[in-house]
Amino acid sequence: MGRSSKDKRDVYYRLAKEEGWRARSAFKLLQIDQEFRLLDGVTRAVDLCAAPGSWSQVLSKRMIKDNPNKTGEEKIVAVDLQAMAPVPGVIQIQGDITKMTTVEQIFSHFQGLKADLVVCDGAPDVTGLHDIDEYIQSQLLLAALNITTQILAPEGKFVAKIFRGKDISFLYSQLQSVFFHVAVAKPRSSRVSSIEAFVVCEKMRPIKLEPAEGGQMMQLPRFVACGDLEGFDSDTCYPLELDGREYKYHQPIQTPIKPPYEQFLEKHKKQAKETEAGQQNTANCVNRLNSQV
Amino acid sequence: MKAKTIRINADVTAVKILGNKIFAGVGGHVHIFSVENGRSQIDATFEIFEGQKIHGFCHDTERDEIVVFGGRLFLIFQLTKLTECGIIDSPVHKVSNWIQAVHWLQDGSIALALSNNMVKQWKDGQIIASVQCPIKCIIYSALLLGSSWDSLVVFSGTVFSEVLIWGSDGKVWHQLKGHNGVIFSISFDKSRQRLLTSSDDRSVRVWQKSADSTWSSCSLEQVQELYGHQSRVWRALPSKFGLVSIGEDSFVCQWDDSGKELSKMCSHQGGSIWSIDICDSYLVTGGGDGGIMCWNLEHGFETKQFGSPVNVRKVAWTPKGQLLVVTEDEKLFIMQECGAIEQAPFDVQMIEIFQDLIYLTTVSGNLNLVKDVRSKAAFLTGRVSDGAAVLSVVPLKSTTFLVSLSSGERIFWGFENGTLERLASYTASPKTKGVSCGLCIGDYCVIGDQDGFLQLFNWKSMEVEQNLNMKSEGVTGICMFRGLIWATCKEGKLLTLLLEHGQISIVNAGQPKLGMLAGLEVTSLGLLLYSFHRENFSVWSWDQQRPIFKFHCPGGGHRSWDFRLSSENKMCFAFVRHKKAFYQQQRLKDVAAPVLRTGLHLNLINCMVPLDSNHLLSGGEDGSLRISDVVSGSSCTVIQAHLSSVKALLKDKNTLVSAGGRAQLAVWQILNINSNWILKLVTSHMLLESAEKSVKAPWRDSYLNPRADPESRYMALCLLSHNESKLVFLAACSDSFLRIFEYFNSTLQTLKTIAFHKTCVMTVSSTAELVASGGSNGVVAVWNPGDLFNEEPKPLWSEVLHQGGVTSLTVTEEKFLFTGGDDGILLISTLNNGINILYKIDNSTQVSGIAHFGRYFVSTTSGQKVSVWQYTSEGCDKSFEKSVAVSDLQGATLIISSQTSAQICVFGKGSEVLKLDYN
Repeated sequence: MGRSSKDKRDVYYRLAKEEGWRARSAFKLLQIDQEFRLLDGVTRAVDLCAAPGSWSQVLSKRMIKDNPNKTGEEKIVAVDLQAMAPVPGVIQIQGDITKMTTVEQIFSHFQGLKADLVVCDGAPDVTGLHDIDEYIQSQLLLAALNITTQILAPEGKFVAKIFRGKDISFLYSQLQSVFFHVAVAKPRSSRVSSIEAFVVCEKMRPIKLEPAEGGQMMQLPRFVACGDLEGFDSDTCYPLELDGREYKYHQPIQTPIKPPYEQFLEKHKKQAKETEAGQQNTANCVNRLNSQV
Repeated sequence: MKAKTIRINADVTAVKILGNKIFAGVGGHVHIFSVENGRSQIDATFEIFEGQKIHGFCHDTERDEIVVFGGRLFLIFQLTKLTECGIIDSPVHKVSNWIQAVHWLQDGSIALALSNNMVKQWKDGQIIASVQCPIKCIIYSALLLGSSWDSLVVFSGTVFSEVLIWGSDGKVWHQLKGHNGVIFSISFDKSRQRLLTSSDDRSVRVWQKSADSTWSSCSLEQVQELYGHQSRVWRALPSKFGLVSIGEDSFVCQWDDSGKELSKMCSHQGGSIWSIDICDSYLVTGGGDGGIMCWNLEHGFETKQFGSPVNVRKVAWTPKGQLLVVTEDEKLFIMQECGAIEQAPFDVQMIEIFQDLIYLTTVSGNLNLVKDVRSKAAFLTGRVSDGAAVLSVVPLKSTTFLVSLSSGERIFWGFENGTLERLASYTASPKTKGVSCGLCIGDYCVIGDQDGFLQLFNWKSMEVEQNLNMKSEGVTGICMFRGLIWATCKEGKLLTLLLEHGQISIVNAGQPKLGMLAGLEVTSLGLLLYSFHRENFSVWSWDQQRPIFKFHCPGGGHRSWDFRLSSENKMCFAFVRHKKAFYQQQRLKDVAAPVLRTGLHLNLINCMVPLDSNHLLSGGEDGSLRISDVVSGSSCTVIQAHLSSVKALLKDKNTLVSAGGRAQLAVWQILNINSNWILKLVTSHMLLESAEKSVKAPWRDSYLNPRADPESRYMALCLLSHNESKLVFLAACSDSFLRIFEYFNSTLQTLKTIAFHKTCVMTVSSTAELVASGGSNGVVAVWNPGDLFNEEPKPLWSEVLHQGGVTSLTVTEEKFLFTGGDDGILLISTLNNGINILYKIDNSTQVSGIAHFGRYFVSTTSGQKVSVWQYTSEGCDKSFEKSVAVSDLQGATLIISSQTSAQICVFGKGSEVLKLDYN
């Protein structure tokens, strides 16, 4: 397969590279923002589980670079366990979102003030078994929700990734016990076939309610498809020449930093080098045999 | 309304060996198999958890009780009660967090390790103790040891690549660092006092515990770091030889004590292997394809050298498993039981063995047919050539054989009356490399040659009636199996052909990716394929869809070799290398182990249609089409049909259209031969065919795989008309077009491309009077079928019915329209002068499929719910609902067997068949 085949299959992957986003997920936040006006008037924002940093890029662009009403007070804090390449205007904390020290660090950057917006696009490395993946994702969301209740201003907003699987009702009820308004956003840059969606939570309850164990929701959250209807759609295939523009291949913006299989890859490369001589031998052997025939 | 699960096929996430019983967790069902003398049978199936997968079993020998757990649920049952009463009726218990491990304590309580790094003690329905590890984080694996709560040792594998060892007092004793990824499994090798861990970082690590010390005071040292898997390693377990690991790459890797790789077997069709259990040298694995397999861990089989100073040219096994060797100086030797060598009184250059006859031939054409090579008296002697060199001798049936000569002549010889008789002959190209295999079927004989051709010879007309170019480097084997002719080609192609009305036609050409295919044979173990790949000769079982044994054989398969399953149930393999003969003999019982269940698709099932009341046809993300038994759920037929995923199927009478990724469409003829369902490819079509590229590796290019741009995907199909031989259908395409295709005279052509939807068309449905289509932007359009052929077709009505994509849609004869969306909304509308919504049903997850029958319809959601609804124009009621353990549900199909009963087959990552009684 050629290197352009992924570009053909996925228009947002291609656009992300063209526009300089580290991941296609940047469009998801942009489209949710377009629908919910999340970033209007936000001074302090927190990006949880930020790596590789595409959502931080969006926050930085919308709050600082392209913000006509910016005051100069805007602050963005990105938290992740892993190191991530710097993003202009974004303060990085390499830490665990479940730790109190992280909360304190965030407050110190905000001079003790609470955030207007908390976003979390974190997801585990999926195993392929939906039940485990959905469970771990819900645990991640609850951890994000827990820190959010401590750092978010009462009128602030919380946006996080969810997997809409079999136990999603329970998760909705837990979010509804913390927020008055919970909606489910599906950006058009997220494929219909994917179980991924995003919760947009607004207006924190002064006192957290006890969520019912059976997942008794107050009501089913509103479902909102986000993104311009005339814009690109992630399920649709587009020709390489978009709107008559000439196609040019772009390298990915950011390759993974220190993946778990790094050591494995190194060993693999080394092994391949060592066996190269051996393979050459085999090839010669085959050629000889063929010429005999 | 009642429903009963009659089949479940899903990821096998737990397996356990208990004596001669094997327990397997398939979705929320426990399957119990018994294995005896290498044979297996299923004893019982119980649904334990509704909608929750089983992730483990834990057995207590003293009480003979088993804990079954999965997710936050667990259940305890007594084994003796199960065998006596045949039921499991114990209550299901629920805890606060995901259970990673369960352990029986001596006082009859159980310890549970939870994913939030907490352990709980449970007894008689209550949690009686609980402790949280001071290092709070998500754990992906755990192991519990110790006989009481106070002496409990907890091992937790964290998301942060560490193994924590701690006690029920909450003190952390060890924090093992080394892995670079999530820890997926921890196990303890008691005999060697070693801890085994497996991880996301593709490695298995072995940690040695210092002798004579407790876990709290011991030291632990990483002694081995094993890299053998290509992908994530899910489990590592101790075995009597060392350890065994399984992973996402579908390999079962066996390692010895010192960390040397002993063997590596690929199975479960290349999908993930989720679960494993070992008992002595017996191993069971459960896969992502839904398969459950036993393995024999015995190894170290030695290849022996045929002890002689002579230069060996050919090897052959007699039916009884005796090795015969032909040397370069034309001598024949017999290998004795004891290993001694005996010379036979024949001069020979070629040797073939068929049934009880041994064909000994010289290149010049002298033939000796013998039953016992020791006796000088031949059964028959004669000449089979008039001068040209003999290239090969191929026995066809008990008294007929074929000789191919260097002149190109091929002569059929018979000896029915005790004398050699020339029956017929035909001529091939004088450049021929000779015949390699042949098969007699009634009045016909099918012959395969090393030039890559197949000839159909008619005994009545005494002529070759067909000479088919297989575009191959040589046909290596041919046999009859399940009513079809099967042939292997040197470059790795496996062909199935049909002999019908005196004509051979190709049914399918697959590429099993086994390396060089050297032959095939129908044996007592079913159809076996022989292949050479890298340094191994593999015996691959078609029934089991896995290799049953590998012989180390460096140097490839171009030289003389022979394999035979002897009458004494030994697997015999011999080959020549550097003019020496090498051989191995294994007793079948030492190497073979049964397959408890063959798998189905190894990834998502996207579409399914019934073939008859007992068979389902499915297409999946893995690009294959499969025919499976409704009850057993095992694959009966597997066809690697598409380059990419199969997303839609359309069946009308005996014609099937499959469509999917890379804009690939294929038309198949559905045949039933000897009560086997067979799909015969008629034509395959791609939208954008690029210029034929030069192909470096021809074996990668099966004939049905035209190269094309991976541009568009077909999402759904529906029928427009079918009369006589002409089939017209509509395809929903991801590039936003609706396309009309016509299939006529074995060819497919695009009749029309309709631009209406502005985004990906997700789904289409049709009746004789109406066609409906739905897009990923929520737009639903209803068309008059006739209008589709207009210059600029316009729908009758179109509306945005859903937020987000329309994921399912069905239109009925009574002009009802059912639509389901990503927004979780299910709409029932009538189609009279417009789309009039009657009912709206809210779901918390995507409505992925709708199927309708009579006054009922079935809906499936990605939240694993299957619902049956009864509807009229006055109301709509839920008649039945069930949570299934099949995740990622894509839809449902129905088998209507009578007025009062139907079978609902739901599919996604696996499938489940529910028998519904609605009276």
